[in-house]
Amino acid sequence: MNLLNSTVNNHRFSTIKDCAIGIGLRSPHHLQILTEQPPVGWLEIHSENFFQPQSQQRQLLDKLAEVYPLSFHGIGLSLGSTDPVNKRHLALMKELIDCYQPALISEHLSWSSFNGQYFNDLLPVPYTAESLTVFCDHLNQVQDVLGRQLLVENPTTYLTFADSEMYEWEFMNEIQRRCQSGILLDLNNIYVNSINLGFSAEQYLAQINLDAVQEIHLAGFTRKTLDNGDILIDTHGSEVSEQVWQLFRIFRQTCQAPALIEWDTNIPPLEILLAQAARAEQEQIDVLNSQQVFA
Amino acid sequence: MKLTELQQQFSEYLLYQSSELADLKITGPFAAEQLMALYRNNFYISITEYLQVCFANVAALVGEDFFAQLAKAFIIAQPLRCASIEVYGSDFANFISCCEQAQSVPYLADVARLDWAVDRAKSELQHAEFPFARLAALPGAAQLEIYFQLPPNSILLASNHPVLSIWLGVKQGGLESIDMHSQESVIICPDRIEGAKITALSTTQYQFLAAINNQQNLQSLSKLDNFQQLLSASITAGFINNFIREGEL
Repeated sequence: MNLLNSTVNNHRFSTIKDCAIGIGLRSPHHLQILTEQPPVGWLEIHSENFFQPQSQQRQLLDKLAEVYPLSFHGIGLSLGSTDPVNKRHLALMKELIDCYQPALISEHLSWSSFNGQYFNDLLPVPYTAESLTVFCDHLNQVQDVLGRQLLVENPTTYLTFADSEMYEWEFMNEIQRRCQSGILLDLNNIYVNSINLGFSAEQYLAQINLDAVQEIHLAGFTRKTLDNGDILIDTHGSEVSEQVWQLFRIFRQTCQAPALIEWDTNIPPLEILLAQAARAEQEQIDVLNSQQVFA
Repeated sequence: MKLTELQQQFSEYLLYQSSELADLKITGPFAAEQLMALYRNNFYISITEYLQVCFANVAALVGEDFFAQLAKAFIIAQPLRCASIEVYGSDFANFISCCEQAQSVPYLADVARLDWAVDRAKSELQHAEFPFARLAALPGAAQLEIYFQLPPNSILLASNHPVLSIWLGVKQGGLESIDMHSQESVIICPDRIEGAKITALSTTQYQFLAAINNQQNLQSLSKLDNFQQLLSASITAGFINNFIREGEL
């Protein structure tokens, strides 16, 4: 893809192409991306970092929006909380979205606040009928205010609740069915959970509503040793693991959703991210070629 | 268990308000305490890391372990009440000034104030040039009733300590040559190139800018010694970049 040739028109992008590979925009790379405009298919931002209208962040986003399709990924709506949706936060998000009209908007299947106290983390939801109702009520409110569909990302969870009444993929599919939302499928989260909690990642992929998946995340994890053994931590602080590349190859056979290299901690030089994006491109070319061979 | 109860117990555990986990019926590869410790640690570490970025010179002065203790005490005492963490930390300096453990470093709170001011200034877009033409268009009597303004997100800081010297000393790796009994005043303004511009002020300059911040109008300011010189220097340096009229206050 030669993005630069296709972006000389001074306009913003309303869609991200199928199979386009993007990277998460992180502050250490702002200047380099702006000046070098590397040929990645799209950029994803954390919405909350760009809420302030008169800011240097917004000035940067104005420029990048002319060059790259954008996806806005939120972490603060706390849709799974019993607290009401934070109207101020939603208003800030709406202003941002109305201003840039990103191709995709996403949030998490999690909660992060209780009784007005925020935890700056994505906390686990029990997969019960009550949780489903709460989450869907909040998601519907948000989609109504924004006038847009949201994608909901599958979380990393290090524990399960015995009260859960359904599998995570069933919960994800039911949210999508009730709210007509989309799915952001994080393959690293599925892999990390499958190892920590003991289920089949392949089964998860087979059960998720494929037609609803509009974005894929690829990231790295860290292995942490506890007293009784190892646990995988979703740090987003390393290269995508071989196991997650394998899941990507499997999933790419049936899903053409754009994919993102997500890296949030121990952020490396931009070149490393671009190399990961190039590998994702190559992996999907290989998948496509093998499908043609067997067609 | 109702979802509200589950989230309340989970929250209380994170905040050290309860150690009761049985009702949550947690299952997983490890004991519930170990699994919840992952969430608890992540909660404090993620906010501490954010504070460490905002208050980099405080962290450098006191070291990682002490800063982590300070941050944890702050997080518990003044919980995050906003969905977006970007506004959290405005009261950290005041918390430090009241914190018994930090009393051995008497200038720490002012270094925190300077760190915070620089962090805020960096997020501001500062484009406005002083509107000389708009001022000249006002009738003479109306000019006397204007109020000058500092750029948005500019902060004036008067310290009983050599705060800027310490702040720079931490960044440059040396505090030995600083006279710790001296006092310094500074202004921190957004800057298009550097993100934030920090300028040491004389006592007279500080008092002049403080009077502007305290909404003294031009007529009142003009009675100060060296008024013309102070005004001209302040506009040239970008410490004043706008004015408003009486009715716009």
